[in-house]
Formats: sequence, structure tokens, C-alpha cells
Amino acid sequence: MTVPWRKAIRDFWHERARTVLVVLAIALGISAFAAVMSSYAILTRELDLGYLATNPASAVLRLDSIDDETVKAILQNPEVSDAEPRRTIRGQIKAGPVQWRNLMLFVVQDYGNIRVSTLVPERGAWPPANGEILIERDAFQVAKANIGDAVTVKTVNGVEQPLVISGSVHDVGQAQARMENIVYGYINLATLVQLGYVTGNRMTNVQTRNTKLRARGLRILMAEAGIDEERANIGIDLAGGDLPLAIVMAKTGCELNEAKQALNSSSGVVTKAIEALQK
Amino acid sequence: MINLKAVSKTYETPAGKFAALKNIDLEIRSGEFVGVVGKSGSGKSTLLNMLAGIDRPSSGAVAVAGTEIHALPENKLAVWRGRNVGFVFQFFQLLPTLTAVENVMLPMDFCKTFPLRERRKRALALLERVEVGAHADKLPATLSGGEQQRVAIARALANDPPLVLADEPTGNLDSVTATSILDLFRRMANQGTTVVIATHEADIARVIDRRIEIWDGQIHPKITQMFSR
Repeated sequence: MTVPWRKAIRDFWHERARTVLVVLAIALGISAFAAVMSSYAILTRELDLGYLATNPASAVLRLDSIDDETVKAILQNPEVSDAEPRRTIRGQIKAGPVQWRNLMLFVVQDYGNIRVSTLVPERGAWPPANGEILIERDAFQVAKANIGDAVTVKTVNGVEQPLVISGSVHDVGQAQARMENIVYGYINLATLVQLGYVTGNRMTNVQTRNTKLRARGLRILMAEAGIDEERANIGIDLAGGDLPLAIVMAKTGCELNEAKQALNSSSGVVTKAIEALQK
Repeated sequence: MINLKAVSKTYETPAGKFAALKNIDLEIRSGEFVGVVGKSGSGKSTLLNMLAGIDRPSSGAVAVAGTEIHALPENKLAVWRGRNVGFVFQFFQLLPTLTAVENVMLPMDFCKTFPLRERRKRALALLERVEVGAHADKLPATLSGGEQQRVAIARALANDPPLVLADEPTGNLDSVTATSILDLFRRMANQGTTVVIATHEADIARVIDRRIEIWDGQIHPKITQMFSR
């Protein structure tokens, strides 16, 4: 053995406590590094698997209205393997005496047959009954609510309505609710009608605040009331830009104040207001 | 043996440029024993480092044993230094975990100048030559200052270099021991090794061939004298 080797070995032996510490520190560092790398690999793999297991949608089409015919037409395209209608509404949910959180409501027609961007039931009821809402498991903290609580949701025209939280779901495809500070809720079609969002087969709860929304409002009013664009324009102006009001006025021929009263007493549900006025 | 032409060395310091050596011309013959004398900070150590190839000149040429060392790249310079220069330090710089004989073998192991089996034999012979053969297997800490410096000198001779440099080799020793160490350098010079030592010991005139006085980074012409031996 040459002298440099002898020196190295003797130095290590001379400082054996320090040598052991350094070896331990290196071993610890390497294993920590390996642990981080393997957790990263496992997490990435499992997150991808978890996401892919929900059969995530490759594309989302946003439409004014959706019916079975439209879905069928989309499925005609040989490159589309599956398609499912799902309505999305934005509103607010009460999280405290004066605190409101953004709410994104997903309306699922058939909870027994979700094929695209699937939901995993976690606790409580599945599917939600009429007047009930399921909350994404990460959104309970945002909503400051628990299963069984009655919560107040506010729709775009400001009408507050109660819903009961009946369960929780895991929606892998959504951004984390706590990060987005938003509550993801899941209701059925009957609850959507109850909230006053639907007239016929259309989402009528539109405030015509900008050109795009006004164009959509015009299309819906023309279709619902069976009138031409010129008259629809006048109708929306008379209603001060409020589409539900415009529909009630166009379909019943009543005055603005009458329509407002009717909508107020029907909690904003257009169909009920029209029925009441037509009696 | 040694030929310095217009060698200058300037250091950048926070206070500005500092010239450690100014335009030095110097020639030292083979087998000459030269004492470089000067006050602290005069540039003695810088000059020695220049000769050893530890430091590079800012300008000028340094030729030692026929090699222009200022032009060598760092890796070749290290190889050249290992085979051509022995260096003795004021504080010995022996490795504390190696025995005396192992300290002397170390340069041979690094430069592979002698066959593996001959190295220990040669190291022991060198220790005998500097009169510490009896302490070959002791650790440096168990030796006196004079004995440690003898071991360091044996180490400097390990690769049989043509040039031995010593920076204040007696600075840390009592006067009796210092005298015997200087005698040892004298004997090395008599055997043909070029020896350059830096010192502020006034009492070296007895042993050296030539005295070079450095003042403020320059060789002082009047005090630099030849001694006839």
C-alpha cells in the first residue's frame, strides 16, 4: 500500500467519529433524495392514472342549450367515441353570516350513467335527490359546511334559495377547490329547474351584460317566445337587459312591474311565473 | 541553473496595486548556496515562490534547470515541481498522521520517481543522511523542532531534485539547532544541489556562497555581495 492510501486510512481512523457522522449524513442525504425522487415518480404516475380513470373529456363544447338531438349529432362524428351533456352554472354559496363564496354547479342528468369525466361518490347520498346538492370533497372547507347542512345559494339574478348538502364526491378533473377558492356542487336536473335556471330546455338565467351574452339572450328569447330579432331586441331593452323578465313579458304580454312581481313570488322560476300570470 | 529576466509581480489589493517584485534580474549557478535576505514584506517569499513555480510572474521570464517555467500550464508545472524542486518550510509542514519515513516516501509515491520497493530504503537512507534515522517510525508530534525540520529536509530531497528552496528554515528553531540545519544545507550544496534559502538570520554569512539583499521588491545592488570560499 502506498503512503497516500495509508494517510487516507489513518486520517479516517483518527477522526472516526467525524467519519461515521459524514458517512451517515451522506447516506441520509442520498436516501432522502431517493425518497423524494421515488415519491415524485409514484405521485406523477398515480395522479395520471387517477385522472385517466375518470375518462376525462378531450374537449368541452359550451352551448346555449343542449338536447338529446345535439348530443346525437355530435356522436355522429366517427372521431368522437362518447359525449355527455352536462350543464354548468355559476352562482354563489353562503359560507358565513355575510360571506359568499363562488359556486360552480354541475347538473348531471343521470348519476347512474356518467361515462365522461366521471365522479367518484365519497360519503353520504348518491345520487342527490331534488333540492339536494353534493359537494366536492375538497370544497367543504371553502363552503364551511358539512354533510346534512342546509346552505343558501344565490343565482345570478340575486334570488337566494336553500339546498341541502347530502353527500360528497371526488371530482378528479377539477382544479383543487381550496386553491381556486371555489365550491364545486353537483345537482340533478329537477333541482336546476327549481332554481329557476331553465325554461323549456334552455338556460334562461342570462343577464345580457355584454355583447356576447346579449346575443345569446336574443337567440334564447327568439326561440322561447317565437319572435323575430327586431322584436326580441325591443323586448330585452324593455326588460332592462334581464332575460327571464323579457321572456315572461314576451310570453304573457304583461307589463314590466307585473312580470317582476310574478318572478319574485316564483323565486325566479320563469315557468311558474308564466303559469301564475296566465291563470 | 536559475535565470530570472525582468521579473515583476504585482498583486491586486483592496488598497490598490502592490508591487511585490520589481524588474528582478538574477542568475544562480548550479550547486550555488544563495541566501536571500530582507525584512518582512520585502519580497523574499515571493521570489522563492517564483523559483518554485508556486507563483507566476506578472511579467518577465523564469528559467529553472533549463525549463521556462513561467510558460508551463498548471498541470505540467506540478509535475515539473515534484521532480525538480524540494521545498523546506518554516513550520516544517509534515503530515501529522504519517511517520517520519512515510513523510519522506510521500513525494516518491506521488511522482513515482523510484521503484515501489526502493522507496522505503531510500527514505531511510535520506533520514540517516540528515541524522534522524533512529526516528524513522515515529510520528512528527513526538519529535523536537530540529528533528522535524531534518525530516522535512529529507522529504525535500526525496526525489533527488537539482534545486532545494527553503523559506525561513531556521526561523522556528533555537540557535544551536539552526546552525546544524544550516550546516546540513551547506553539505547539500557541496554535493551539487543548488540551495536558495530566504532568511533574516544575520548569521548566515558563514555558510552561504552569495548573499542577495532584497529591499522593497528590488535586489539591492551594493549589499548583494559575492563571498569567496
